[in-house]
Amino acid sequence: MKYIRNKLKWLQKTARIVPVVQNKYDPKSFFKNIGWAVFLLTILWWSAVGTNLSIRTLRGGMYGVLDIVSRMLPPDMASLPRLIGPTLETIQISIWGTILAILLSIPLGLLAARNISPHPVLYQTSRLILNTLRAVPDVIFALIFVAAVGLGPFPGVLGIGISSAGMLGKFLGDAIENIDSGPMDALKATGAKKMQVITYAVAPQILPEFVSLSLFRWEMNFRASTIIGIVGAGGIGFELMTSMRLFKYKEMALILVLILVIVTIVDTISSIIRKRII
Amino acid sequence: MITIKELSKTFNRSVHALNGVNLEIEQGEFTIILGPSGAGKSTLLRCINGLERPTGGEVFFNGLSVLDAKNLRFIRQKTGMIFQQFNLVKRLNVLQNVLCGRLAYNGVLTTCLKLFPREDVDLALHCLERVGLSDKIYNRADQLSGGQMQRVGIARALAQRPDIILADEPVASLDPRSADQILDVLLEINRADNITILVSLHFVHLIKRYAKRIVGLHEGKIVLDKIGNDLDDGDINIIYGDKKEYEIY
Repeated sequence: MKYIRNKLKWLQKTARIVPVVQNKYDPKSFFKNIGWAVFLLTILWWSAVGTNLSIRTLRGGMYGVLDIVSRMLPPDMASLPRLIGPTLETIQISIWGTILAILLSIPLGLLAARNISPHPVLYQTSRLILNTLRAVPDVIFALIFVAAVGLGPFPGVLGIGISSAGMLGKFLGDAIENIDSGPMDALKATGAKKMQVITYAVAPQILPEFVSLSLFRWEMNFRASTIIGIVGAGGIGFELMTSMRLFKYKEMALILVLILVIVTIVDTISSIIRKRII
Repeated sequence: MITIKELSKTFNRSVHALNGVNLEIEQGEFTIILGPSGAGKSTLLRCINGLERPTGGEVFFNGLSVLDAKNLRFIRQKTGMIFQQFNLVKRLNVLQNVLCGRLAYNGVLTTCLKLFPREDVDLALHCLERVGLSDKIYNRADQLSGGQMQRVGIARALAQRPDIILADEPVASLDPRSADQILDVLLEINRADNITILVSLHFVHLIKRYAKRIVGLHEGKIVLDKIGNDLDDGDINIIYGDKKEYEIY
């Protein structure tokens, strides 16, 4: 042990390449980092074993992949007219789902920011609600709302809205915690009331971030609303599920193309809005 | 108008920023608080408008205790503050930033819809004229230079129609020329409007031109309090001790 310690000391003194760490040059932290690296590699190895990670199996399975892809091509253009309606419905679900999420996330997010939350209890409660919303998959929410309000796109809107409020609210809370407190101090010092401080000092600082996150969430919600169609919450997801069950791979391919087209459009619109705001 | 009694502030139970400060400020005074960084200047100013809650002692504003939550909003309304980092809302324009000084005088509902009474807008424009920024009204705050930002900060404080302006190191982030301009504006406000002004500085060379009263702060205690603008070597030694940082400037 002593030998090793001496050897390390000698290394620290004579090494021609030395680690420069963020805070203070401290040779010990270099070895601490090595420890962390070993720990992370162990976790990666453990997860690989747990999931049967194997390149050989994948190589052997390439035939299966090619088989399905070949059965999907060419996409079945004949079903296009029938699929337009559900596609538009999916867009409508994603729009109102996102708006509902934004409306829910604003009060929750404001309470979930330590620096402006009126009381620690409200802060903890709000964080708990947000965590719950994120922990429950959106399909489950959609299932619950299908049971509550019946089949169709409306439970889809509710499911999407509530589950994405969890993420938007958490990010809003985190964004508010990270703002520059200077302008907030300055406005407080003028005697402004809390809502005024939020409107004039907090909102302008987080607006660009919140808008681009909401737009990103809109895009995610579009994809999510294809999945929740599976439990009967309307939209193109229901069609996707049906064609999968009936092994209609060419129709499935067309649906995937439609989703790709819409995601691209949504992405383009988002980036235009984002540029305007920032 | 400001009475400070035995004021102390301790951070994290171990850092004594202020240690039994007694100070009396009269209406219309122009006082410079001088001291090395870490002497407690900011803390002292922030205790006057309640941004920092003292751990001991009392602060009175025209006889009203700052520690009493009931008085706080009124006292803040009548107290303008200017900061070293300006603390403007960068994504709002200059006029909106100045109007922030009027928030306390207006209701939550209208101001949150960005609606202000016409008199307030006229007052804000007048304040901007006084600090010489009439041509930048609709510029976004982050497009301005440091000196201009600080002048917006002053206009925001002026728009409050304050009885006192607290200036926390207002020129520490500025070049010497802008620094002179800012202090000139503050002096002019003090003379023309009879607004009490309390400026914290760690420069010595600006003192001679501006100070009417100098309060020296060292490690949370007042070590010098004199009327006039002459500091001799002895005074400087008392304030800065062996910290010769003033020589850098």
